[in-house]
Amino acid sequence: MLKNLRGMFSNDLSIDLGTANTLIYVKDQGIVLDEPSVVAIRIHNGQKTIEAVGADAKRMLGRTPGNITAIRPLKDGVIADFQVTEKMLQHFIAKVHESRFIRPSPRVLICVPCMSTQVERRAIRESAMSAGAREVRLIEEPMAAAIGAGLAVEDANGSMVVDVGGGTTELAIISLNGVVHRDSLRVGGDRFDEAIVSYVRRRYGSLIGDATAERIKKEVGCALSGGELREIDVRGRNLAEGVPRSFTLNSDEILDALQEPLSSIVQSVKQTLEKSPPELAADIAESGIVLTGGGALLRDLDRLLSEETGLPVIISEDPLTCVARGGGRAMEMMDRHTLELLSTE
Amino acid sequence: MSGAMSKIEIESTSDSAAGAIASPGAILRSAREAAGYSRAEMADKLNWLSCYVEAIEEDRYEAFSSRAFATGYMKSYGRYLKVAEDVYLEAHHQMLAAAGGAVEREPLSGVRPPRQVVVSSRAGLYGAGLVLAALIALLWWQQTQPTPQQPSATDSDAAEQSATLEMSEIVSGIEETAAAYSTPIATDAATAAGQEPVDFSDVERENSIVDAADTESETGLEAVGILEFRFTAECWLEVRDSRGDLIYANLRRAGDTLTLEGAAPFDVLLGDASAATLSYLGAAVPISAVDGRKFARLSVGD
Repeated sequence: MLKNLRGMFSNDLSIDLGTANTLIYVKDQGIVLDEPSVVAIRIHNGQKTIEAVGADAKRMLGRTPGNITAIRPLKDGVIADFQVTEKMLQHFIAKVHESRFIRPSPRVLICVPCMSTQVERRAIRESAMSAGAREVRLIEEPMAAAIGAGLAVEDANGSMVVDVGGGTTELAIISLNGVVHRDSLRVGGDRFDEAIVSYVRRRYGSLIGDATAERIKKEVGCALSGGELREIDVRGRNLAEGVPRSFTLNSDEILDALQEPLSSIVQSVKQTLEKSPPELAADIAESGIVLTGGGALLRDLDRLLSEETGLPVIISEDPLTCVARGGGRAMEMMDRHTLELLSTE
Repeated sequence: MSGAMSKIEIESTSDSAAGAIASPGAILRSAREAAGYSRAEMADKLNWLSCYVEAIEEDRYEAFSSRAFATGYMKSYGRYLKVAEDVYLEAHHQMLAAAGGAVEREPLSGVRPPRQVVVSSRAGLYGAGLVLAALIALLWWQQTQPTPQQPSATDSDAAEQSATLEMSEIVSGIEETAAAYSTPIATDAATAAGQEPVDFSDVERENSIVDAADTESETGLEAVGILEFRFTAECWLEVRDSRGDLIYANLRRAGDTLTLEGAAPFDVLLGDASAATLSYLGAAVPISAVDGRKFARLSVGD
């Protein structure tokens, strides 16, 4: 009952609990929080305390002394560390309600990977409940992404969404408020970063951190050759000499580094198209595939998929916030009882 | 057709187009023509149906299944031709606004801070403190209210009983006057004035007429009795009347005398049986302690 009372002073939230970033959408306010899913923990006399959460903690990644650990509590789109995720959610929910003096107890809709197991979904639900939510609803990420991208999910018309997130790539064919076919592969922005790290290690004999790899990906990363050639200066620790060294990377090298994860995504898209019912495949062939998620910002990823599949591929508006915004709209639709058939847990 | 050259040409074209507020379709068409592509070639390069190229260039967005697709196609088209995105998107929004405010909701660019509440947190804290204090006061007030069982009959009954107790104590000082009356009902007013019993009963009858609410309890079916206590040592006393209502409950000291009036029979509890003597309607009542214990419990006026 106390939770319900506190709920009167809380906003309904849609949370995109991603491996890389957590976004929170508040009804009538829009996206109010976009922070990296990173938590820094200080260990003192065996006691663990939260040192920093979000952007502050991300700055600490790879730069922490022995008694501080900066960790990412989610891996491959699901919870890897239950307690830390709970603390992180608690922090984010409080941050969204920071101007309130009553502890918030909001209704929360969380986007989960479509192929996540019951155990993983339950972990997410319980983590949110422990973080103070009074009611938790779950929605599959591709469905939220499709709604956020503005697709007419309620029509009898097939739409295909490819959501390239931090930990996973979610693919779904949607029609009539439901997911007709879904697939999820554990390849995303993180795998791109790992591929760049291992390429630099192999090619230049130097070690770079995840944060540097992410910067390289954002600035010179591309998915298709023949485009504009870009270069970036990078500093890493030379493994042979043990001292930092500087070297230059160009976009063709990064394309080479990203070949493996990119080909997995292309392969998965092709498989999904193969398994789609013919009528829906025709709809998709006509209108095209919609790319969402942070991975969609990788230069020329849409053109790569278009060339490989022979279909039109478009990038949604503001792909980074698509899932969170879609979750928010889904919650409003659920409240109006116009989304009863939505596949939620 | 070199990429760099076409980009420069397109930018100059789009600049002049933007100045004249050209439609997004016209901007993209001129970019395509500058790049030397036909519509069919563009459709082929982008893997589109050729009707979508026409639709984009002629600003016919109803050809797309949703507004998201229209914008997405337009962006893909512009990106392929290397046209600056803001040039044709601005024109697109202006065109939609001119068409009657059918602008789709703007996507959220970046993260906005949560809306601030009007009241500052300090003022809110004080407000919460006041509300909490009021709640505590309300709870305390409820606690201090008598339980509904104790004054079970009516408020007038309770008031009368307490008045009776007080007056009876005064009466105990002049108890010989009270003892002179044979009628079981006696009031202080009557005794003080030394009125005849007949007069008193008249007064009582008058009261019964005036105060209809009290009639039943005072002159009803129940017999009214007078209890007189004398204490020789400290003793706890509890007296209940025939309805089970608590008439008296207090500690009396040595030398005290007490007269109580109420509906007989009475349940009397004495903490120390040897410390008190009791008479009912002038007749002494024997008090015997409960076996092996000091206290006594007796029923008087059966």
